[in-house]
Amino acid sequence: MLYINNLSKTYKGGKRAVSNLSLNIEAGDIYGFIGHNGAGKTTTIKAAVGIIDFEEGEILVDGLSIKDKAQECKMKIAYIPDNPDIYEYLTGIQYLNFIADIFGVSQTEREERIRKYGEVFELTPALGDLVSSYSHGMKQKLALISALIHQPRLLILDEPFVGLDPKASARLKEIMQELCREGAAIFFSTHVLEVAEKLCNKVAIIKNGSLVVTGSTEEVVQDKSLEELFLEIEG
Amino acid sequence: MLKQIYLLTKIQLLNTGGFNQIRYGKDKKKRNNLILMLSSYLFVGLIFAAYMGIISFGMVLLGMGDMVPAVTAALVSIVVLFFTMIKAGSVIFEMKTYDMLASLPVSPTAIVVSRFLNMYVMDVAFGFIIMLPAGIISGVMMGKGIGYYLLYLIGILLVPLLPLTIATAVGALITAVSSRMKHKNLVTIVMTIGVTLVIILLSLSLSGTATEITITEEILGDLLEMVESQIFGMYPPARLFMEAVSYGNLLSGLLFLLVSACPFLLLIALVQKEFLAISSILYTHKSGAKYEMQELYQLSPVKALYKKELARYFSSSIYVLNTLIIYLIMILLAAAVAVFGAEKVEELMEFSDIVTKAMPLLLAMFGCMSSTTNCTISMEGKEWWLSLSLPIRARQLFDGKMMVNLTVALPCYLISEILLLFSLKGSVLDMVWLILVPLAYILLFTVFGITINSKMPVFKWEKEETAVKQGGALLIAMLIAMVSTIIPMIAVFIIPAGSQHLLYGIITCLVLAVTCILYVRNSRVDLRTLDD
Repeated sequence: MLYINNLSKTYKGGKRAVSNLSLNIEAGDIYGFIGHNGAGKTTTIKAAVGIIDFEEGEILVDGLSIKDKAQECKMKIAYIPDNPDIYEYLTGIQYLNFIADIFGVSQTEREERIRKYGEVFELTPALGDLVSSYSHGMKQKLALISALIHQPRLLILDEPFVGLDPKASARLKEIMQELCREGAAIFFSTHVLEVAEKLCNKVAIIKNGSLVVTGSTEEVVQDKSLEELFLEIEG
Repeated sequence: MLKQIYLLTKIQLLNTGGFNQIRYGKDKKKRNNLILMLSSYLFVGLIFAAYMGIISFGMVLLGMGDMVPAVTAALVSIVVLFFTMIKAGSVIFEMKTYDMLASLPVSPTAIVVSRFLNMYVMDVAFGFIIMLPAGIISGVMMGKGIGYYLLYLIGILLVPLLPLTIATAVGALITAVSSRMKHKNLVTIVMTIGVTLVIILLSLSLSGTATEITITEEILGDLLEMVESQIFGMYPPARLFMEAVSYGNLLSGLLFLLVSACPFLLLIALVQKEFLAISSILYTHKSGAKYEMQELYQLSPVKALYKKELARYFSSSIYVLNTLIIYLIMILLAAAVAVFGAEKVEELMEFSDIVTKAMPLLLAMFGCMSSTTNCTISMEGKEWWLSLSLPIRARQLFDGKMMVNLTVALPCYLISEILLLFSLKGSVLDMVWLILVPLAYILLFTVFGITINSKMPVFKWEKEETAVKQGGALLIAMLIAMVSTIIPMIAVFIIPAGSQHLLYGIITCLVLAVTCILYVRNSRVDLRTLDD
């Protein structure tokens, strides 16, 4: 579903953020992406969703290049950044309706999904309020609903659990598993290693822009915990 | 407290001019853009300074050298009053950075004072550009002593205080009144536009009355009297300033100091006392009744983008005020022609035949100077990631943005056209150009706004004012709008009578051709390459 081959990204000023990174996320995968701050997680994610350009390597979404077929790729993706700044001048429902319009979601489907996920994340009563009045957690929930509104084939999330209350976190994990059962793929970065260990069937650890470990969670962790392995790698 | 005020003011000023980016930024393109922007400001400043120098030179030659301090002070005051009114409310009562600072051991008074000082420093800088060259030229030509220069310099520091106080008081009052209304932004926009238009009309009416005297009695004594009545009518404290600087009257100087500084200090004291109360009303969001799912309607992506952009536009009073006022001036101009006739308006503008010969271009100038697209990309700010990650093409995004400008500009254009078509006399072809030329320019600068803003976007801002007023794109777009209409205007006056139709035809074709080229180029922009 998401194939990253030899990705390298150097920022203006010469900082090499990602170096020869390769990953293959298949349908049904919940893929955890782990690394310390500044390791290159967000850069990789932003390149994968077509927000930033890259000079070396290729990224394919469902077989299509994000460079050449950005529109088509983005139609299959839902992305939520670590700190989702959402149009503050719209109400929650206006924002969701806007996203549904962009993805061409039909009237019946959008109503059904907003009703469903609004109740799951207990946000429906606040959907008539301006986003500017939302707390960080509420914005995160709104971003999650907007990500699910078009039933993406690939969900890319940067630190999705930050700011969510325990109940919403649990619901998100259930939704992630449900989506994967339906054939979608999820690629997300996290610092919460316990979550990654329990939730992901595959993990990758990135250090200084290069991939250090990748594979199925069981194979990677073996007899240690993910936290022990991570600390060992970080030295 | 003083140290806190100093530090806060310094930080705000560093943020304002982008000086820190130039000094410490590693991105060469970003630095070059900032340098280009500051150079443009410097260029405009030099033009103003030179212009004021020439006026001062002329006034001394006409024996009105003593009036130079009063004229420059009045000019600075009107400009400060006009521009501060638009931004005062949003600058003083801005809450995002206040929330951040409030958690630090910083006194609220220091925050409020530093915000006033931030505006004051910018106004003083403008004061120096306008007043200093004029003062030096008149001082040297009249052989004035050191006392003249010293008092004049002190005056430059004092002049912006009173207009700043009045503008802030009115701005704060509007903000405070509108904060109690349901549609806060709309009320702020309407009230500020109302007050600003009153200022424009008042200053126009003063200059209109005075011009009549020149026509009937063309003698120098009356000219002096005319300038005095105009200046002192517009800005009464100018008399005190003139008496202090030109005649060394220290009592007048002291009175000018009191008149300028006391209201300013009083206002700061008042605002800092009521700051939290006003801000909390202003930024407390009323939580509506519990939302219940209703029927939702599907729109096409472009329509959805347009609707979203329209909501963005009307959510920001400073954005609306900064763009809508010029369009309203365009209507005012057309209304003035319709009510008073072309000759009277030409008299008022002190430019003979400008309406009868070059009205299409004059209308075009007002129609293209303040396109909302000049800063529409910058206005996305931290939310830019959404435009990048959603499956929308550059063309769709830009179409939505351009449609907002046309929504604002076209009704103003249509009203102006109706007023002019019924009041101006001319051939059918004259009327055709009156319709086509401004329309072509509006379209061009709607598209050009996107072009220039995509070259110089500013995404990292805390206050909307930074995106709306301080972007280099805005300044360059305004300059190009002025130059591209003024040059053909000059040509209209130079070319032989009867050739205007050909000229207007060429201009229209050229403008529309450039519009098409830019539109196609904009549509091909890779949004990922846009970076501030």
